[in-house]
Amino acid sequence: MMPYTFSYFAEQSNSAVKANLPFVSVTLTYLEQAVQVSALVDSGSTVNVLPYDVGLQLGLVWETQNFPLEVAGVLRGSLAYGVLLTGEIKPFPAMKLAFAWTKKTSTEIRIILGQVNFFQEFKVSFDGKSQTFELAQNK
Amino acid sequence: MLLTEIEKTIHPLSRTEKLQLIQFITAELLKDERLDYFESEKTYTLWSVYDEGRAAQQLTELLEQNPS
Repeated sequence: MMPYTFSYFAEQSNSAVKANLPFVSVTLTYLEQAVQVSALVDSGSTVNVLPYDVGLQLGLVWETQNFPLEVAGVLRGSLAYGVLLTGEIKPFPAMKLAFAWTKKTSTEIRIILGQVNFFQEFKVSFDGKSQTFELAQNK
Repeated sequence: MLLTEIEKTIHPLSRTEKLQLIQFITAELLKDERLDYFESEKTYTLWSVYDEGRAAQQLTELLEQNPS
């Protein structure tokens, strides 16, 4: 699969930040439920992050989760569970993504694609000057 | 205005005024390069979840336990 270039864009948020950032449109699926979201491609994040409300939209049930994560850093003070979802970024084939599903909502935290495991699935090249980034799926 | 005219205007300025002018020109250049993302005195949220090494290890184990 050939690399594909995406453009940075600014997403509305509660903060005053209007800067363009490397967001990408991704369709997340859990069982038969799918939602299309904008996720921040963030090489500085150790994990993928799924806000609480987005997990609920996908049909995840907080009370039945059985893979608690030991969070000690930025997510400290908020429970988080490990969940497996399918993620599809067109034009690439769908892939398995492991997320830290946190009790923080999308008003508090972004949907983040981080080192585990998005950056293991994709080779990512950022070009801040041209406001673009390139994704190439690892084999 | 020609650059030579600007030089004549700048020359009599005090040292402080010249430094202020440098600051102004630097700010203008940053705007041109679109590097002026952040404004002073404003609070910005840090989104990166940058220090969750143990959680990353656990998610890796979760993926290994559930191969495709």
